[in-house]
Amino acid sequence: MLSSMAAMTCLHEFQKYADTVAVSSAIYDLFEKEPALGLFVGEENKLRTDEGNLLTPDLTFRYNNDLNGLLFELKYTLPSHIQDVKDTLLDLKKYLNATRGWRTPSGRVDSIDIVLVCCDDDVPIAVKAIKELVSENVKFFDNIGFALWAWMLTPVRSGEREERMRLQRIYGKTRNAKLEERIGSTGGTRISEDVLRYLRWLISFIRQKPPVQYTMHLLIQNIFPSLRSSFRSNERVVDAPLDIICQRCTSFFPPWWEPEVDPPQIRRGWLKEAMNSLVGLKIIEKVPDRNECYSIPFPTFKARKSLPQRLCELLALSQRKKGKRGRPRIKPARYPSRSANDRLINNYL
Amino acid sequence: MSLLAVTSSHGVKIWMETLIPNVNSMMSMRLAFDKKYTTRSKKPSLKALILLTKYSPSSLEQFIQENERLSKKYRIKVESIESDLSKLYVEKEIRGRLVSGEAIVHSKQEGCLIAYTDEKDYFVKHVLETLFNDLYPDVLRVYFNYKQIKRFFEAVKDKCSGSSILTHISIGIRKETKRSKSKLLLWEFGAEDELEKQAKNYRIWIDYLDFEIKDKNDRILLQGSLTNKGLIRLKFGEFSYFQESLISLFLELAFRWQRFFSERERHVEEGKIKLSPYAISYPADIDEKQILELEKGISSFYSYSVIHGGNPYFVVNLSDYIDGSSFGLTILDNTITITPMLFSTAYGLWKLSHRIQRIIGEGEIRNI
Repeated sequence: MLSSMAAMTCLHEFQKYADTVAVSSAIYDLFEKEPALGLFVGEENKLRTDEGNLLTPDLTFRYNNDLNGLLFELKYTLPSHIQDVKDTLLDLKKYLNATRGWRTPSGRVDSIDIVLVCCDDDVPIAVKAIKELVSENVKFFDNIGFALWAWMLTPVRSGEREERMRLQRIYGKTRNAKLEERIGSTGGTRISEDVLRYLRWLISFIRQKPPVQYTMHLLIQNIFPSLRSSFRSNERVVDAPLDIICQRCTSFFPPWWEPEVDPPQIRRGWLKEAMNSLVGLKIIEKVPDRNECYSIPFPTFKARKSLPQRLCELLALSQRKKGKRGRPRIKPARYPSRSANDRLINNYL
Repeated sequence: MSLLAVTSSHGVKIWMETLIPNVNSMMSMRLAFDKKYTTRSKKPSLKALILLTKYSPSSLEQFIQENERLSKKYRIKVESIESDLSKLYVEKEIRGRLVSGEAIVHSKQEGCLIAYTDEKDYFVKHVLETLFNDLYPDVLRVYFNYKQIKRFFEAVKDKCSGSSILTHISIGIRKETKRSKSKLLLWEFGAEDELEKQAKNYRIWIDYLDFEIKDKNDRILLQGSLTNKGLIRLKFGEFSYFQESLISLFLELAFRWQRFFSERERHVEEGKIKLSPYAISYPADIDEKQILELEKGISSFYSYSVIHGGNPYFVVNLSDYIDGSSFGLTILDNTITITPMLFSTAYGLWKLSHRIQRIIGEGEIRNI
């Protein structure tokens, strides 16, 4: 049983991130199967502004004979405060300046469409924020070229097994007529079965920082086992530097991420945070006297429960412990010291 | 060797002991077993246990010594007879009683070991088989479902240019609606048709099949049985023929499936991630109850992360505690898809497929 609300939220965040990663593969698959919708720019996706600033949206496509660009930004969760959501939305405007690096003869495209993809849980706050921005005369959200899409898991009723995971247009439009036809139909577009069956394992991260429990699970399930040299020997513990762990994780990040500048540092930060959280939960240990080196036991985590569920319970418990330790103490009463004028109670009897 | 066979009061010849202590070469083994199994008499069958491993029989001793748990459980001794023939002595304490026995391990073919023994079934089931089960992932037993075994018998039929008949089939059976499991024996001729019928209405598992192989003149060449875990029993027939035809064909099949499960790890090729998933398909959709059973069944062998439970769409990331292989597993409609992750071995994948089929029922394994 999940011990608290915090643990349940933690698990929900984990699932949302995992599904958003699947949606990323689904969008890629949609264009891969229907090249008429656009061409995947892929790993050369080093977009730059005229000033030379680097921009790396989640997914980049070209369409209409390479005249137009289409960018996707995926968010597994949006902030809970409306102002923060508005800031997130306004941040998307920076992609309009992505003038270079489109792999066209001129390196440029005539126009850029931006699609924000979020989970259906976040649709109400996202729509509210967009409407407020429109009322504040931010033209970007009112014009063609910006769209909000949501992904949803449709519940399965008895006898119905068709509806599963769908992508739906919620707000706005892109200039890509063919794509709009697909996504604009009633109920949106169905995510392909290949994605649901195996393409969801293609990558494990999007650009947005994952919740720490997600990275922890990925490390325990897929990275740590690969660190052991032999599974026969009595090798019960392996010392692994963070660099090796980062190297092993490389193929789980989108291949179109640039192998230079910021992204590797960002990934490293995510992985370090997850490793330190595992240390905090006493699942692994830090190697004394060695910087950023961890001692990993095998099997790393043995539980009858699903790993994310157990991790979330432990994280929730550790958070609770940090807040308050043990039983609340009763403050001992303080008595002011007796002055020379004070008399003993016995004097009144 | 004559001391080992006695004649009972009813005039039936009974073989009292194993012939293994007398084996000192491949030739002597063939002669001894040929003699023993071409006479109709009451005796324990000859068992051939097919094992996949890259190690030699002499490594078995070392594996046990290195593993604290196994060294407490078993005492083994491997003695080399010829370059590719060894004698294996195994001892295990079962409920305060020492059970021991011997087997001849043949290692001529690279990548596999064949353990032959004419010891009693109790020793084979509780000592020899458990020893090799415990030696996973260094040693893997081969796992076949009914469809794979059927193809094997078709190949046997072609090779002996006679006939191969499944005389009876023992299957585990479970009604879709009921939780209880029961065993069913399908007898004699027409057993295969009956099995097809049963498979449509029930979830089935093959336990073992009894077979008879005849030549063109309808003369019985071999009589024996085969389990779904690569244990072949010879009850009657020439050992040499058994070894040259049945065992060699069985090994071909085992290697073919080993190749199927090999080299499926995710990897990067020209900057792109390559996945090599495969699927297990069923005639009917997998329901929520079966998914729950699977989740419960795998929890003791794998570290697992459920990404989607409920819904007949099930997504889980698994990591084998012992082998270290990790896999992505999804269930949608009537298909289970397994996607090997960063580190996964052929043994790990084969074992996972077997475990899934033991819970959900036998399906068809195919590439995607």
